[in-house]
Amino acid sequence: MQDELKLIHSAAEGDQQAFEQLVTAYQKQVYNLALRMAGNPEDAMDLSQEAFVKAWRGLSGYRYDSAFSTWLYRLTSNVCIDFLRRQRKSRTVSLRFVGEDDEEQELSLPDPAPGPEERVLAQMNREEIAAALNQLEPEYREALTLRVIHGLSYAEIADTLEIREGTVKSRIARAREKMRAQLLGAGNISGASSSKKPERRTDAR
Amino acid sequence: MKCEEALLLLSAHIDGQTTPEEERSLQDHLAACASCRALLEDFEQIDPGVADLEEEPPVELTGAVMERVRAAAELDAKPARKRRFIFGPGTAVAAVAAVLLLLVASGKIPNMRMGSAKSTAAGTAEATAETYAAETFAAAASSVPEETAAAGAALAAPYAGEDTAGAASAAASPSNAEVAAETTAAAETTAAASASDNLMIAAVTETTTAAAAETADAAAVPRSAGASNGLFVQAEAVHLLIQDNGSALTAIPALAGMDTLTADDGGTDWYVTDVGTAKAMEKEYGASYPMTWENADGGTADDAICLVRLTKP
Repeated sequence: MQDELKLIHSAAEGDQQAFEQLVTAYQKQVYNLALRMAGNPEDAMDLSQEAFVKAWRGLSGYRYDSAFSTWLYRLTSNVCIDFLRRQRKSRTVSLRFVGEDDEEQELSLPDPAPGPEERVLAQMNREEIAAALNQLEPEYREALTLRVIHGLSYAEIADTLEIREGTVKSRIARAREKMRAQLLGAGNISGASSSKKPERRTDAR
Repeated sequence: MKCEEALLLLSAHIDGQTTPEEERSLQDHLAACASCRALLEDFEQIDPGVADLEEEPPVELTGAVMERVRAAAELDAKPARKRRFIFGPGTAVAAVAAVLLLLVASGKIPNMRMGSAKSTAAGTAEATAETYAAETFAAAASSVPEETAAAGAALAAPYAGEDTAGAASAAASPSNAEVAAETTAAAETTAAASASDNLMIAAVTETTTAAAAETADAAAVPRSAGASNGLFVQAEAVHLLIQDNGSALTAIPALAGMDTLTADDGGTDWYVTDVGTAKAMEKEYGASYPMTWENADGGTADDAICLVRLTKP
């Protein structure tokens, strides 16, 4: 920690090598936050770079009143949210989907208490989990990512996102609930997926 | 406890963020509610799946970041402590900005070009800087539309003719003019700049030190780039660059090493400077070049900003 403070101080004074060490130390966390927010590696790479360059430029404004990681995640979060806002202007994601019979239907959330035959979450693959996470609103996605991937406490997340702890708590709970709904409903949402894994369908009740 | 409440507690329970009291009531509820038990089981399965999404960053990330950092550092001609603007009252700067904007916008300075380097009292810049408020140009320039367009028009009237009020308001409206502070950081400007034909004002800090000269060279941009359609003036150590965004972006790194630049409309050179410098100029050139100058707020203090018109014989 002492070393980190020295690095931060040197980097703020314009020491590029010190800054490079900070980048090396935090690139994984910054990249993974950007990856979950952007949903694809290309944008995540761009956003990570943007966040670090902003950090370099803004380092003299870092006041040491919160952890450096908190400051950096906040900066990354802002870069990502800005990016998503710009994206949202150009296209909107519909909550409607086209079913197997090519008939557009409203996305229906699964029953909150599915029977034991539907307890197959453990078999979900990475892509499905990533896709389900990506379907969440950015605020929910961000809170869950910081909690589960970055291992931040509710207090740290509240500090990072500048929201109240109670809000963090409810966002994470809502995120988990929606993730579950997405994953249990995966067989319903994707025709291809449901034909391969019919056991995941929740309409067999 | 209702299942809705249990949902929040279940999630907090997984994260180890429940109080002992909450934990007790949650366990009571779970003992009685099968669907919440199922919910907990699902939640506990989702978390490892999400955690497993963590990936190694691309190996080239650090290198790419540092490349951009190096470029940014090179463009940042001055460390933060030198990013001071020698102008005192923001309104004076803003008035000058308004004047220049409307002069450019109204076409009264039709053929602006870079003049040859002429030395001014730049050597005292560092000392002078300490005596003024370290006010950013952005703050000053942002007050142009509301506070000083009229003052600018009044000041410009002797030079620009009768139609200045209209031109001033046109130039000062955000849709026509992009007013930006810039400290030779071209990369940042790229992000902030809008249409390249918008007018912008850039403040370039003093350039008399070796560091700045090196930066200008390192930028490797031709010094004449973009300068033919812009106005670049110097008041001691601070340069005001007024031209369209596109040209300014190209020109800023190149201009960092210049001494004095003037606007030239054929028979007249224009300078924006402080009264002290104007007096010195008058002493030096007054005999051979008829010269008038007028300051923004009627004051005669040496640090007041003024617009100088120097007529060639």
